[in-house]
Amino acid sequence: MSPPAGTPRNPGLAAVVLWCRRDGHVLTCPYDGVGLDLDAGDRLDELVPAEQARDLLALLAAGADGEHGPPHLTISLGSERRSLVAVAGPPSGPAPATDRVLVVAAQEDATATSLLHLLQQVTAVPATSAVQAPPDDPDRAHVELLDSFTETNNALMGLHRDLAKQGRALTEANRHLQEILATVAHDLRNPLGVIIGLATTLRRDITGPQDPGSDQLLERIEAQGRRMLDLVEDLLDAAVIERGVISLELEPVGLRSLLDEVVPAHTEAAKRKDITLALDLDDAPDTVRVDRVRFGQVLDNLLSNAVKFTERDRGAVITVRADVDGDRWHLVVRDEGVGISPERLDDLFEPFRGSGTVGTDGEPTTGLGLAISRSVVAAHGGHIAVDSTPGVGTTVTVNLPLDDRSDA
Amino acid sequence: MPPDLAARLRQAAPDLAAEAAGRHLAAHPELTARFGDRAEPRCREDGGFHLDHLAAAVAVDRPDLFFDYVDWGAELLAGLGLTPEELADHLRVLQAVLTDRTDLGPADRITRAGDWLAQGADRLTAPPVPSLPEIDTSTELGVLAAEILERLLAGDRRTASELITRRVDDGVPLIPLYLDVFTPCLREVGRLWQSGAATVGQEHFVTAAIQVSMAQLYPRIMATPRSGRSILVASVGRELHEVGGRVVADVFELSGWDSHFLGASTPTREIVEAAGRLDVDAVALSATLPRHVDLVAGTVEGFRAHRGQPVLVGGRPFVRHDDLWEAVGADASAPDALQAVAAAEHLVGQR
Repeated sequence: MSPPAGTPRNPGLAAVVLWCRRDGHVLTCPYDGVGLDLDAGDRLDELVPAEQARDLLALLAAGADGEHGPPHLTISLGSERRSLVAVAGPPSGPAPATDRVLVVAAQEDATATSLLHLLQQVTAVPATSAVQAPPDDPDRAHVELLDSFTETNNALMGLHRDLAKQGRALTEANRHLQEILATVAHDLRNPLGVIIGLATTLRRDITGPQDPGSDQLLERIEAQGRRMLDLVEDLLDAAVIERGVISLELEPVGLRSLLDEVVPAHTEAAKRKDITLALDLDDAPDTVRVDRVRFGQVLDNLLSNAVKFTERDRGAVITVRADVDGDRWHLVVRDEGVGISPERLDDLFEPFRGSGTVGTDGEPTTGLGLAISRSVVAAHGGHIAVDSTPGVGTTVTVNLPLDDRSDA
Repeated sequence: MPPDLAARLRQAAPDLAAEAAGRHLAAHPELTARFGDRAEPRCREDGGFHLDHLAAAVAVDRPDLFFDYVDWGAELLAGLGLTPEELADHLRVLQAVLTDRTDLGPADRITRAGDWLAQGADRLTAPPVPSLPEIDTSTELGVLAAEILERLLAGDRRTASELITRRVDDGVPLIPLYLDVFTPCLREVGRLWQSGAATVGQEHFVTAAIQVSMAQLYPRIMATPRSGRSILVASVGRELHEVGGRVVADVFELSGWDSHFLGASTPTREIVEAAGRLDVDAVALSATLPRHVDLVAGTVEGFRAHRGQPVLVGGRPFVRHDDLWEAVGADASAPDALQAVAAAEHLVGQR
């Protein structure tokens, strides 16, 4: 054991304090160049040069100057956020030998452990530790309780702030993703168009006669190309809608004529599964004010889903009904299909939530149709709702204004 | 004065405060009669505070910082049952104890620091200047601030929060809300606590409630467009007041900066590390108590040793003394968060 090289600045000072009370009385130390600013949990031996720490601790263990004090040393580590290492030593006078060292900590932590470890390394004097709560002072306890609430509050506010920032970062990342998606989809569309066009041209024998095998292959190229094009179109729509830039060209549209355009596209698929498509337009409005293309897309999505998720060969019926209710009108597509489980209903309209699911005959889905439909309906000033019972069927209701308020 | 005297003064403070407490209580037996067993530890604790603030003033060689503390402390201690005369006597006893301690440094410097204690005591013999309310009720937002504070002092957080939300929904921009409502509320509750008109519990409650209201605005704050600039905001080591720093961080955020708020009691090494890791354009350091001004100086010095970003400083001492930023080695200071943004824009633009 050897004392530090520096002479004590203040030989009369019996206590060596290496931090820290909450009120800011800090770093009091009678020796030049030694002062430790500890956070609870800090490891002493990682914070200061080992030699310096050992010298100091050796000196402490040897006993501070004093003639009246007990020949043992108590080192207190406080419970404060910044630990205190106070040494209650004997008052000034010749140094008696210390016969034991006690490290008192308000709680077990790395600071106490590393201090004890260092003491045991640098002195043969037995060093032990004890956990002991600081003495009670009602006023101080009250203020400390308030401080602890404030610290918790501060920490929560910090967390809240960080989460809000992370939320912003995620939104930003999502926006970038959508932009990339839109760019990729856009760049895919043109070459796909060329591929489909060339396949069609070949099939039409424009470039010469084809054998039946080639014709079949070309048909498959064309069909798969169209499927891919549909997906790309959906992705583009989704990207446009996500960016909130959906624009409508509202015009009076005859509802029956619109259905006449859309429904036949699904009759073939329905027929293959022995599904009947029925129209109930007795109470329907004659004309509605919609974007013909966009609203046609909604109808198309709803019918396509109804057919995909209705089992074949059960003689099922899909009904498309429209009626007027005050200043609004409803379009209802009801199927007798497999239905949707309650837990899936919650996020049915979120983009890509349905991707990967397939129809009863393995028909592929993109998971974008309902998301696009909801956005288009919302842009019309309407809303869309789904009611479904697994095994019984699904009813999708689109509720729209009759007048042109959505054009405002 | 060189900073090492400040360090020695702090080292010796417990001894000096204990000796001064003994003498002071002997000269004022009425204090023991008034405070009983708590008289001696309280007196020692107060002496420690006085010396800590003196040390901070010594470190940056600014007696006005100490006088500012005396004015502030007089009002605070009056609320706790101590007269200005008793505080003045305590400061004079500390002066006597300090000037006996020639081992702390050169005699002329000790004498000078002792003189500051005496001058602080002399200030207390003048009639006290009552502190002025921090809320200006001649403006619309001042009235809102007063209403909110009144509700919060009564413990009614819900109504206060609704008042804020309603005004935000009505279109009150967020920066004026921060500068003309939240900040005056916080300063006023601090003033009320200092003068004994509010309890420490009320002070904590009001601060926490306003922080919660600020947090409720975060989704809006974080939605403001970004300028691509970023700043690190932190309260220096041992400074437990953090709401001022939070206001600054949020106003930077509202001004398009990406602000990283490290909170209270941030050690220098963390500030250095975060400034490098986050690659910020500037750093803003906050201190509320005058006794932490030399910590700001130490932090600025420690930061400069590792990083080159401009450093702004702020908080009550820097608002009260508008040239103090130079003494702590910073690049700028500002009286409020919005002017801090302007100062930071200027500093970063120069680089």
